[in-house]
Amino acid sequence: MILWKDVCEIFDKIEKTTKRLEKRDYFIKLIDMVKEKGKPEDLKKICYMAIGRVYPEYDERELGVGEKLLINAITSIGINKDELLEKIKETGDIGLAIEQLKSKIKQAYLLFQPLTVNEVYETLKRVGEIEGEGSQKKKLRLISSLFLRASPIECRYLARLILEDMRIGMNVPTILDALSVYFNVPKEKLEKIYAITNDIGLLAEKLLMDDLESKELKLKLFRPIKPMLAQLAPSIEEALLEMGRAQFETKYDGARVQIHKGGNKVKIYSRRLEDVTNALPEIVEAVKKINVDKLIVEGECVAIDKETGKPRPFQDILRRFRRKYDIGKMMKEINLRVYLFDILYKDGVSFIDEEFEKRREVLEEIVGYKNDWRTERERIEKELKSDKIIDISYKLVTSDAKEAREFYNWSLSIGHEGVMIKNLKAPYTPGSRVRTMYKFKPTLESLDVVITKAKRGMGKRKDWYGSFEICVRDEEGNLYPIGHVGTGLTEADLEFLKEEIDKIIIRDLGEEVEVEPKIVVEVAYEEIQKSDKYPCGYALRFPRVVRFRFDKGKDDINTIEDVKRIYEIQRGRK
Amino acid sequence: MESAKEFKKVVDTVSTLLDEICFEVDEEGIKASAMDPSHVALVSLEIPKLAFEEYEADNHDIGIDLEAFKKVMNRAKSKDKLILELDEERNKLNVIFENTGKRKFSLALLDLSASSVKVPDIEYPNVIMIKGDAFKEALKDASLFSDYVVLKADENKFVVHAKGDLNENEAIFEKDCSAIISLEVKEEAKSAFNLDYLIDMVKGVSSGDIIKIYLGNDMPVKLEYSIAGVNLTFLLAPRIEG
Repeated sequence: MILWKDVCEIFDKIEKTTKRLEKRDYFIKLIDMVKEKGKPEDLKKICYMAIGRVYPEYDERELGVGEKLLINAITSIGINKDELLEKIKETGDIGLAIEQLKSKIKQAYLLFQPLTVNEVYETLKRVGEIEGEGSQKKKLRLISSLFLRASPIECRYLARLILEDMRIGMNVPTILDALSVYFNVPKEKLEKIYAITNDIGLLAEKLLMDDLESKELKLKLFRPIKPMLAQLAPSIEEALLEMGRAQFETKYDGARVQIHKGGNKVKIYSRRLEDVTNALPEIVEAVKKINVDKLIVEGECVAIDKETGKPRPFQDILRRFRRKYDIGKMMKEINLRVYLFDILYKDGVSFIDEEFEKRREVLEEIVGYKNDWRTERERIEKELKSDKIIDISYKLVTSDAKEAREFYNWSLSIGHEGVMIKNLKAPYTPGSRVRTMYKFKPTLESLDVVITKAKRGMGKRKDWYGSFEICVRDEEGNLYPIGHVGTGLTEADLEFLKEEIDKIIIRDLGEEVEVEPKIVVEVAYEEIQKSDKYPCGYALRFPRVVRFRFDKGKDDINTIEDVKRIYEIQRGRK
Repeated sequence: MESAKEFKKVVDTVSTLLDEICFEVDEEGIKASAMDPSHVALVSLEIPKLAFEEYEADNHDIGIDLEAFKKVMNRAKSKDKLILELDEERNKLNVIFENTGKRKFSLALLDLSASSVKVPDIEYPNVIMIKGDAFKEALKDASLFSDYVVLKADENKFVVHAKGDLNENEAIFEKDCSAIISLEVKEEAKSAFNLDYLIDMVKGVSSGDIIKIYLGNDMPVKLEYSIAGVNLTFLLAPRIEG
């Protein structure tokens, strides 16, 4: 039996070191502890817990216990609410707060039994499953029953686990490292299995059972796998130089989907492996009609403007993906099409290790045509405005850079982002960004923007500001927010920003402060979106700070006109 | 059993504290006891043979999911008789409501073993017998301001006291007030308890019922009462005041 206390003590050590290798070595102690005293399934549970989960990573379910319910559970065991809130404010962490207050509780037990990992895990799992009448009370009771029996340090990790944020800096790669060292299996091998299963606990459990060939670790219907990722190619010529002959495909301006079909059951997963099936009924129906019993395929889901045949802005797809009600209405408003581009599994056979050329052939057989740009361009163009819901990607197999460029320009002209460049001989490598698959698209220039607000940080960033409102200007020099940036900053940058921002605060708004527009940063971003959130009508998607521009002031930053221009380029309308 | 509706109260009360239970059945009756997951409370019930109109049984341990049992018992109507029947072959407990016809529910048996935790035989200095609804209301009053409650007894009175950050509440039962049936106090006693649990423990009490409270200093409080011939005993560990 593995005691929760013993695990917490090691979690504490993992939390206290910032060195990856030391974290790994402490995790190895946990593995060894389970080997000595526990069952393989204990290791599974510890893995999930270490990364702040109760369910496997591919599984979308959440515990669904908010901070409010947690606080109620904690106060129900006799901790004063005001004191608790005060401590949370002081420490910035509910786990530490309850740890410090717990020793004040003097609840007697009829029988004292220390908590085991299994008990904590199973109890929380139950909490996640309770629904219906009186469920809140039952959840509260189960949670407080754990806190009542937990020692202060056990409380710290219980609270964090319940909020699914352990703050010990443990992640899947470090666990994989630890497993690799302990079981003496190459990390690459484990990484590959992990990318297929997305279940670190299961992998660890099987390793401990010495059953790495287990069927459960193979590609399985309705358990999404991490997608293979492309690297950015510096140019078409350089990619061709490396690959010789390659398959070029239109890089669609859409959202990646992974579709699983088993008989009449269909599930669609997003790039981040979220289940988006319910939001996409027309695609589900179209997939059901594919004449293959069991299937896993990948594609890009695009919102199509049937008038022009061009793709609609990216956020229209998001509106479809995130829709939970009135889906029928939304379906009429925004038409979707999926361009399939890869196949991973068909009727019991995995294609992961097959060459890309072969996989494409199977895919073409299934849909009944090739979508070869060189020979079928006329039909392809005619079908841009069609009602087609399932299609396959447009391709050009060539070693000629000039022809490839033509295809690239054509892809932009029909409103898409660029091209994919794929090695014909490459296997599917789930979860990794590889040199067998490139993307190439016109680069978007970065923008110089000025910081106007700073938001106080949380968690790791609690001593700093965590994110910053950034603005562009109009011709008259008025400032317009265009997004919030928090990435691309080192700890030193954050420290610097803290000092500088505190000097130029205009107003304290509680969670954030308004500052004089003095700090200019250069930001890169994924793309520019139309947005209702900001008065200027645009927003930067995934902005990140590239560098500080101390050489620039607020009059030197980019304008709304610049933003519009880049937006148009990006839409491929120019 | 004469009244399904009465027995429903028993299941209701027990199911607020436990998720599952193992009934130990023998020729003399049915017993069960279990601790709640936090190990702070213990529930014990005893259904003597006499509580049934007819009783026929030999030794069995019957594990039941209380949530499901509760749902079924919620379907009981006022004039229904209750029949409990073990179907060994199908591994089910049949719960039958008999009135104008028979309505049968079959509950899957859980593989539980009888709990080894029983109500310990402790000598208590003080025993208070109080009308059930009076005690229940006093606890509800207390819950306005606090999560826990102090029970106090001396020669003259029994007191239920709760103190919040700002507000306070007290229910005083003098020895000769009509709510008190008897007050036997050998030593003054005072202990604090989690209110939530106490309220759940008296959930099934209705106006005519009498509760026996065993109280000591920093000892678990013991509550006893009967519903429909079923004897219920609860134990709750105190909060030790620092």
